Amino acid sequence: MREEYLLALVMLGVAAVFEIVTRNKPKWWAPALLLAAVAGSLAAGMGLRFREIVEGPFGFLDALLPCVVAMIFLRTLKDSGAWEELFARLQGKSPLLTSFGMLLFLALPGMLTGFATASVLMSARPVYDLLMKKGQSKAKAVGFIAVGAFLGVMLPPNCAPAIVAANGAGSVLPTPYVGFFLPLLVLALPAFLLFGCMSAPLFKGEAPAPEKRGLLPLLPLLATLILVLVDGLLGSYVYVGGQVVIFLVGLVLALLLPARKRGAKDVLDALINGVTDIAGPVAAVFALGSFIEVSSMNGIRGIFSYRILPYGVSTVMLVLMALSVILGILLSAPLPAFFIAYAVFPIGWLANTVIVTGCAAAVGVAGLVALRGGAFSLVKEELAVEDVSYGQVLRQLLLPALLVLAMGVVMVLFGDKMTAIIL
Amino acid sequence: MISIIYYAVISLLAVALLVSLLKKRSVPELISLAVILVTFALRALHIK
Repeated sequence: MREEYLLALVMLGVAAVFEIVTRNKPKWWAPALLLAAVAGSLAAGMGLRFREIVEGPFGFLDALLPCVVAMIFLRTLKDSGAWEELFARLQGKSPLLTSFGMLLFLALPGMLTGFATASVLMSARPVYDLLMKKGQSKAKAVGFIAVGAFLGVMLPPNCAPAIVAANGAGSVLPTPYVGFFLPLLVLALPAFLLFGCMSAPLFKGEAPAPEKRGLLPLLPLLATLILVLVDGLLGSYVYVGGQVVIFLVGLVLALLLPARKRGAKDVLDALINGVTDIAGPVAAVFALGSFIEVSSMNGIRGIFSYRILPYGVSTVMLVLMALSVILGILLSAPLPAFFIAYAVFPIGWLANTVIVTGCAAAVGVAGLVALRGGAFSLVKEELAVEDVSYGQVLRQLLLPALLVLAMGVVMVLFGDKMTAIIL
Repeated sequence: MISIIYYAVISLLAVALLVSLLKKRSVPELISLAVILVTFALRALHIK
């Protein structure tokens, strides 16, 4: 057996065993991937290669920086009371409108940060309480929230699976995370619309009318969303400074227009809490960067490139997507993310972002349908709901998961004919 | 101008992470914060 296969077994094995031992808790993902990267470096006889381990995360830095700033912005909105106001405003007059409003309320943090953790931390509790008041079961509430968080991850502008996949494309230089806005919208919007319609019956029944204050505290969010839309859809014509600047503008506006008054210490707390809220998933992606970099250094990527030569690019992608979803059920997203980074690798630098987005769907779905460590576990843990089992919510998760996956497969197969949606 | 904002944000986040590290946290949280801090701090110092 060639040495590279053994090295791949060591790296994947260390990560998988570590995940199993830690019961696949997301907070252990970064240590697991880092340990596997170190093991891969040591097993290759190259010692502790700090350069690769530290350099790997740099490939993700520019794409993840807006996600961190977005989380601070969202935390500021929550601490200032604007998030409660948004929750009240998004409750519509009919069950259908409320269903879409609550789905958007859940998805928005994931859309801006790219991570389900943000959606769960920001929006899970109020939506859960509302569904309880409407007389729904805990399982249905948990399922609705998990799907809302998943759709938030897959919708634009920021999507962690697409950021990972973009990094995998190319060899020396990763594909920049640019031009994903419409492809992500095409990927996830059908599932958003279908799930919103299907979930309308959950919002039937009486609940106390929400207390509304004023629209002014929502102005920062509105301004930010408009600027994000301009950046995503008209970025080729109008430069608004990029997402870091946009979220900073939103942050300053949120500090100037709070729903309730806050001191300087509260502002500092929002900054620190915003960073720490999202530290776990961001660190996991950075650690994945180390893992990918070490796998390139010790020859795993080289042997992979050689072995896939006889096969078509789409075939390689579809096989790795299937493998990712199957593995994701057992081990959630970290190892599927590695496989998808490799799946996108053959299409090269400046890859077609429609195809990259299609591949990324598999990582997102892996994170949704995971038995442990996925969206379901995140929601359960945040809400401290112990008496809901995976089997009870699986039916709710399946349809959006399959729809997003099907759209992903279509985008992989026909991405070359869909380049018009790359703006 | 944009690059000044970029480096200022990264430096500010690095300081926020450093402050976060000073609070009592679990081992995986400390590792996660350290991973981000190292990346941000090296970028802030423009050392790659």
